[in-house]
Amino acid sequence: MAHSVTITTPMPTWEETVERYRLSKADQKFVASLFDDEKPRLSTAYAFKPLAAASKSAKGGTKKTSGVAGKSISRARKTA
Amino acid sequence: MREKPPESSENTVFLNIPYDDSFRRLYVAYITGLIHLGLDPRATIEIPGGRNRLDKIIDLIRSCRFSIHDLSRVQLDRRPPATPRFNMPFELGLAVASAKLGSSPHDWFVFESIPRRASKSLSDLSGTDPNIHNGRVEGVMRELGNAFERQSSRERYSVAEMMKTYKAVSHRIEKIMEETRAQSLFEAHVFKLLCTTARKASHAL
Repeated sequence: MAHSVTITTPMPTWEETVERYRLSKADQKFVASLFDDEKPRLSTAYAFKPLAAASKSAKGGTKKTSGVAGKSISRARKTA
Repeated sequence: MREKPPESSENTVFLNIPYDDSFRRLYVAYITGLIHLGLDPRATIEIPGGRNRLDKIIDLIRSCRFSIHDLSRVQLDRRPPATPRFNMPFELGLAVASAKLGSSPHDWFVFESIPRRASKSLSDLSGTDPNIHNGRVEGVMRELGNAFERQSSRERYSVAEMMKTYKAVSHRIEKIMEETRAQSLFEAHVFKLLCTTARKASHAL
């Protein structure tokens, strides 16, 4: 069985948290704003999409293709 | 190692985990779980670039009362040249040395996703039982709760309550990414906002 330790330190207050992370006024305001609506809509859930897909959708771009059926640009380059 | 250890805080946990795309859920789980338990996660992503990075990593480990080393990504990174990841076991070695040779107390924990794999990949750890999280968010919460016990108000620190903090944070990540214009969750500003958002969410429960 793995070992365990007992935590006795008190839960840090919000003020201690602000100090610990040197949270700027802007960041404090931003974090507070995240909790303005108590129950965020499910559609705002972070989807943990693959980064490439997230980046593509953020740019609104389209996927570049190699022009060779079934081959990505990098595969086409490797086999060229 | 230098003579004078940096100031250590009783609730700091050095988080030694892989920074990769497929680890994002567990990364958020570690942050929110530790914050929920009233602990203070620290990570190398907080360290600015530049010279003496290794010295800064050593200082960070020595400034932490505890450390968690996730060895669940031991496979080869397929990007050429294909190599195993040495950073996690290397930093585990630094933490063990800090615990054995340093003047401040330091407890370290090994987390893994597969039982008995660590005894094969790192046989020097024989006699140390890793915390097995099975690659799942709930598993990380369970094992954090096993590693760090709080005597008072056990219900407050149950996996179910820790999952509430996790969900409260994950529902707000999209906004954090928009605000910071970050390319990845593994950036210093995002890490800071994830930690503080988790604290706020944990207080709100």
